[in-house]
Amino acid sequence: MVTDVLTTLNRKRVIDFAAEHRLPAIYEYANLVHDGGLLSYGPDQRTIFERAAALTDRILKGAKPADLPLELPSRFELAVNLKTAKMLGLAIPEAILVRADDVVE
Amino acid sequence: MSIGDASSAARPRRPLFRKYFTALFIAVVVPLLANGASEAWFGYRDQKEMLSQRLRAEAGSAAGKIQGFLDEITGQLQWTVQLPWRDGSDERHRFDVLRLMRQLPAVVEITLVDGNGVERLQVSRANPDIVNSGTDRTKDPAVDGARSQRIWYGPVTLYSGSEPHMTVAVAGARGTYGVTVAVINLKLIWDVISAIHVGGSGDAFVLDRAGRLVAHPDISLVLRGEGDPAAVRLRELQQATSGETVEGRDAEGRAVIAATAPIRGPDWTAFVEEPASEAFTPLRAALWRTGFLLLAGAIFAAGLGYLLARRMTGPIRLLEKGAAEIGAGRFDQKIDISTGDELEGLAQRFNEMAVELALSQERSERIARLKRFLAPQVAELVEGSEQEALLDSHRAEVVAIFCDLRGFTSFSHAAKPEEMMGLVQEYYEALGTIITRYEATLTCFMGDGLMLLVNAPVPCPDPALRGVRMAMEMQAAVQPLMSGWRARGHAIGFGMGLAKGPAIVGRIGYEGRSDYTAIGNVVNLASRICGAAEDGQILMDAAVAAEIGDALPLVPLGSRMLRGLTEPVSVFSAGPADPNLTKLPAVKVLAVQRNTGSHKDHKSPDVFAR
Repeated sequence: MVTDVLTTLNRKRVIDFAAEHRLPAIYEYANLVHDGGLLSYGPDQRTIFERAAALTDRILKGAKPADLPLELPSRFELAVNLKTAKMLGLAIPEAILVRADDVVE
Repeated sequence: MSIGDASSAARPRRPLFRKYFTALFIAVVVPLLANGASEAWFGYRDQKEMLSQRLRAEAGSAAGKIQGFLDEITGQLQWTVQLPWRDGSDERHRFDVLRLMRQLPAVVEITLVDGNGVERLQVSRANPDIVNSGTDRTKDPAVDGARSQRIWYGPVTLYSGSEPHMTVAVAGARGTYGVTVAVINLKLIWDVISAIHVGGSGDAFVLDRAGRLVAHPDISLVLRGEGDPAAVRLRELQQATSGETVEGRDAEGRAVIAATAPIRGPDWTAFVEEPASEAFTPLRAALWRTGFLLLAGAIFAAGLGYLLARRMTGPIRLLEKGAAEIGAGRFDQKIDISTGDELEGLAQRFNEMAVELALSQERSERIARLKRFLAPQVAELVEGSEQEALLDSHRAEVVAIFCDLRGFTSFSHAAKPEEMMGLVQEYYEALGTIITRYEATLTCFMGDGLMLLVNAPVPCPDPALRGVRMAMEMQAAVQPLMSGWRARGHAIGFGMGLAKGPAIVGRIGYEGRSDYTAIGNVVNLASRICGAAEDGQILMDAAVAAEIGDALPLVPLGSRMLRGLTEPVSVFSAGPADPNLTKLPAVKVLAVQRNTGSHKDHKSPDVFAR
């Protein structure tokens, strides 16, 4: 699922739809996995917002936005929801569990 | 000297007060300044050295932390090259890598290369895993470097021109264990670098060997890439350092003190910087303190100098004023100084001197008074014996001597006043020395005549003889003068008369103007005898002649009727027996007197006989 305002607001419906149709779905952010999504892999949101706050602070302090370089995310997070997997009847391979930063059981 | 002069003298060109004040001030301030300056200088050096040491230690610590960050990564990577590649070990290797990437968020990608240099596995955070691609990586500098150095650090590369990344490779203990190549996202050093604080607001940053900014608390500076002016400034700072502390400008253009330490693994340099304003705060505080102490010292010195100079010059001014008072003749002024030192002694001396001067002045005034009618030596004698009482009126046996010029009145009519004054001056000078030598008392001048006393106020032996001898010398002194005057056509003569007898002698007159004189018949008699004397003649009465006896040749001239006397008087003549003179008839003498009669009467000392 691509995250935007529409999908985020309707995430419950998306997750329910996936469960109903037994569709293994992967999302962008870990919070969706906590809401019942199967898997997510994407940049660490907390870090991104922290950086955004820092940049806002600098702009408010007089820095020209044009002078501030674009920052790419540097931390990525893999989240797995084992309950959803069980419900879907999927066995999550070890290789994924080893990598997972966040496992919902 | 008047008081006005004294006050002008009291304002000297270079007053003592200023000199003492300056000297004392300098004596305190110069050592103080020297001490303060040296203390400030050494304090400054010590502080700077301490600052330098502190910054170097901070730099070392920062370098250690960065090295620690890299060591943790390489240390973990070592785990992936602990075992040789065998059939079936692929899965285990893969799990090692996956676990590693969980633990090391900075690692973006790991590639495993086996002992033959063949790529076996590549795991990336952004790309799908590649298993057994079979790519030959033997020529890869990372693999090559790791094989020769065990741990190989690649250059810093900028991903999409902004994000700094670095490749590291570690090799196993044996060639068959293969090599692990990892790409590290250096942005994550930010966690380390931003946690380093130097002093109050100083921070740390890292440059690689090419001078590229690797890590900085302001991540934007890192991401801006190489051309950024801030990065250029930091590179300049790097070029300025040579292991020592350096002063320069940081990324934001602040003046900073910076120190560096090498990060050996990747050959980077860790910098710590502290704003100069902050770093030098204790230094400035010390300088202010020193300055304040110096100022306080200078004020104290000024106060001390002022007080001491005052103590010194105050008594001196008093002394000066006292001296001026004494100079002005006010001897009763006392100088009151009680400083207990030499100045008090000096004031004491001044006071004593004033007393002595007062006495001396009194004495000299008395002598001056006496000298008006006594010969100087007699005056001294009288003064020395404190016998001014001698001048008080009393009866005494005196020899009165009169002398005057003959024909002076007619001469004064004819001659010019200047010529007359010259003549009189010559005449009196000639007589004066003789009178002084014989210690006769000069009672008064009467135009061209004199009245002298012998035996009063100071008695002397043989007064008559003394008087006649003096008269003879006076005649002898005046005659040559007169021959000169006569040669110039002035008919002038000089006659003398002496008489001895009792008289009342003493001071007559009023306050400030008094004369010493004798009153009695003897004075009148001497005057009359003088009147009777011709030029060159010394006449005397019987009393004088009787006292002289045979001591001098005298010529009795018999009894004469003298003008103003009722009875004839026997008259004697002294001096060279000039037949002309001895034979002079009394009538002629009288005639001469008549010639100048009115004048004679006017100046006649009849007043004494009255």
